[in-house]
Amino acid sequence: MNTVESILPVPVLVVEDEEIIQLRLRKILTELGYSSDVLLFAKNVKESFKIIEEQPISLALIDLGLPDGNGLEIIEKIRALGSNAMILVISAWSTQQSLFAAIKAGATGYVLKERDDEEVLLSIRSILRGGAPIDPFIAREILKQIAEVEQSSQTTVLETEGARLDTEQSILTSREKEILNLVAQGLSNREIAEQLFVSRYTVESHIKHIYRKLSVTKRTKAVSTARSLGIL
Amino acid sequence: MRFWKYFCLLLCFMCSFASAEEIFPINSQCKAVLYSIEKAKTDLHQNTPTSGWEQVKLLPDVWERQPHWRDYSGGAWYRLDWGWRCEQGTHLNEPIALSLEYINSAGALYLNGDLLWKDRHLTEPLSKSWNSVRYWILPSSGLKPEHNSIMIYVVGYGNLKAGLGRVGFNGVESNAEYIAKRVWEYRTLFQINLILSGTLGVICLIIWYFRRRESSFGWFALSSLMWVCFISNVLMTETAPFSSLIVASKVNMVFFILYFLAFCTYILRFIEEKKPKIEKAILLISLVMFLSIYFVELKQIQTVFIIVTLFYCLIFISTYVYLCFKAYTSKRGDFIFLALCMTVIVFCALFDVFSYSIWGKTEFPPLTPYTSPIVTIFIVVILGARLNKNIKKVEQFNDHLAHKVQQVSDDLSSSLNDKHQLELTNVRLQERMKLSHDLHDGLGASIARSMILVDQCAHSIPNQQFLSMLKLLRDDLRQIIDSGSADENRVPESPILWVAPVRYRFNTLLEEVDIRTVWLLPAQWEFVPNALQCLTLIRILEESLINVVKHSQAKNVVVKMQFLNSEQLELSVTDDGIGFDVECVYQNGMSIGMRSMKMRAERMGGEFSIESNVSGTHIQVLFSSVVIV
Repeated sequence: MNTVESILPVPVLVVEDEEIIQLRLRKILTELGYSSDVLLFAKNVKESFKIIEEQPISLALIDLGLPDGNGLEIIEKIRALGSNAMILVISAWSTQQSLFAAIKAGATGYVLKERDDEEVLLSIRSILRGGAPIDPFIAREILKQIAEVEQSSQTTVLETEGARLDTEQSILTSREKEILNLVAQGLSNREIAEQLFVSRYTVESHIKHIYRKLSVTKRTKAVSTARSLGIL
Repeated sequence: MRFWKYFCLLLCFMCSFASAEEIFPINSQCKAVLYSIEKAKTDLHQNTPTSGWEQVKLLPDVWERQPHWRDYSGGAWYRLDWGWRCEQGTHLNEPIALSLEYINSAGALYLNGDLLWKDRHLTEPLSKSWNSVRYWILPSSGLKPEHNSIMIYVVGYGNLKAGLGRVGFNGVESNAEYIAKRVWEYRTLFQINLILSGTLGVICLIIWYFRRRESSFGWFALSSLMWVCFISNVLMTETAPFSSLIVASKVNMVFFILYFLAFCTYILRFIEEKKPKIEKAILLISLVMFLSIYFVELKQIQTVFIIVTLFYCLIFISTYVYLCFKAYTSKRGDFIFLALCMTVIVFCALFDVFSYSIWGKTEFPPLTPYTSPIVTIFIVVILGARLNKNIKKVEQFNDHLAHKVQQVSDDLSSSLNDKHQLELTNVRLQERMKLSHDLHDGLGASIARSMILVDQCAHSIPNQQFLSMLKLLRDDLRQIIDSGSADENRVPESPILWVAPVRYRFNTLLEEVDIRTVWLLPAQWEFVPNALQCLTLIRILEESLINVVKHSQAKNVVVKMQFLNSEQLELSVTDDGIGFDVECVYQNGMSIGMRSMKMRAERMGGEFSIESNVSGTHIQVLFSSVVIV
């Protein structure tokens, strides 16, 4: 654990409009080993944009509901700048659809704001360790949409070349689909690894592949991926 | 109308004029002279009577006009004495053409005792030569210069206008001209008329057959066909299939009546009129007419025929006048057009009648045979135009209908849309009610319990305990929110999927604190718990796992859900942690969560039990499918 914490990614952007929750998150981050000078706080989208443009950030904790807009814009902006920063959505009240949109925009994970401090801390730590958790709901949604794309590409075989390439890129391998199925049932990476007789790291690398396929870094490509998945 | 034509034809028989000695130029030098004509009754064709010859002043000779011939039925001989002479010094160097205008009804012709021609039937049913002009080329070698005799045998009924038409001598060429003209006017024009009427009649009949409502087509077809039957009398050369000439004449008269009836009805229907009473009366009169025709004696047959003819001409004229009147008052194009056609017909018919009776027969050719086919075509054009108009109406109606259907379907879809909206609103309302219900049952009960707890607590509540109360309320709220915001507000298809969100959440946490978890879940529902049971089970599971994460310091935890039988569901969470004193926890309220879970489970008819010692904790819940709430 020490080795992980010794290479804590900095700086950290925290986007949260409520003072009291800012304090709470500061406390949690400090507990994780961060010092105050690497924590950048923003209260709204505008301030966040300013910080992002000024310097590259490595970790972002973002609230979705902000006074002047949606946290999604910030996630998209970070990804549009070509950053590989880890992004954890810390949301107060959020529907599954909005969370899915956040993941698609490029968020690495999410945790509900109301959870106990311990739970929030554990979530951040999990992200820092390089885990890319996929919620069972998200997994189910991806599987559903892939099935739809496959069905529609079967019926319309003769599409334009470009569109077909995009589709092929975004279509998952059968192993990845198998893993997604297990994720959808709520199994942990360890459980999946045991069930498939592979190492835990193989599972994680598969999951990261899935993530990459879903949330591509460039905004234009994201749009076309979304189109080929039939989401837009 | 067309009757006039026929009528004129009859008139022309009567109107020719001849002198006792008639001279016929053959060419510029020679001429034939008809010295005398005599006739005598005979009972047999083979016999030439020796006595009873009487002089005939002029041809055509119609028996009806002579008192003692009028009622005579049978054969008669005509004897024509004739010769030819040329101017001085010239000779007849070409044959003489002998022409015979008609014989009513049948007959035979002999020249100088030699038979030149004879009809097929000289006894009933007789042949009919009354409208057939005939001619023979007589070579000069076969003729005597001074006196030749032509014997003509005629058989017929005096009451049916029996008689002999004009006899003429002529050069071959001018004879051919005369014959051609005569055949054209008296036969060919009628043939054309017959064919035209027949064809148009059949076409109109077919149109009427498929469009019964166009009754004027039907009446026109009927009148055309009656006309064809009637006019065929002009062209027929044999009485057959009728047994005798009398029967044939009567039948012909019947067709004549039917034709007028049909045609007048056609005009009435065309101008969209129905006169039931008058029509019935005329039908009744017609019936009387038919009967009188059927029973009439040969002697009175002409009288009856004249009465019938006049009566129907009168009806026709009145119909025509009525048509003109209607056309004038209604100002409708098709009525006026028909009236004009009819006017042309009536005018031509009158003209023909006058031209025969006043100016004699040669001045003008009869107009009616020429105009009749043209006017017939016009009448059909009018009918066609009307049909076209009606069809256009139908087409317009179709457009109108399509428009209406569109409108109605739009209305329908909009009302369906409204209905759908209403249903949506209803569904939303039900959702809201369900949510309120869940809030009341879940969160409301929890809040009430917490308030009572705080109220009844003897000592001041420590912060930690207060916080855990609030956390409990928060988690209850979260469950309600999650179950309410899920897409399909139903129980998931399998227990695995149902537990998946909780499993995912705690897997992350348990792995972070290095607790190994084993999940033992059934693949299928044996029975599906109701929504409140589901909520409670998930909350118990959450609370148990939170305790494991926070307090147990366990290394392993087993979450097990199983159906003991088809009516009982067991949930158990077992860890190998340090355990706790169950009694102590219950009593001093260390864990408000667990206590609340126990109460809730019991309220739902479940059995809740906790066993704990230093080597671990075992939490078990039992639920039955049959629950009395």
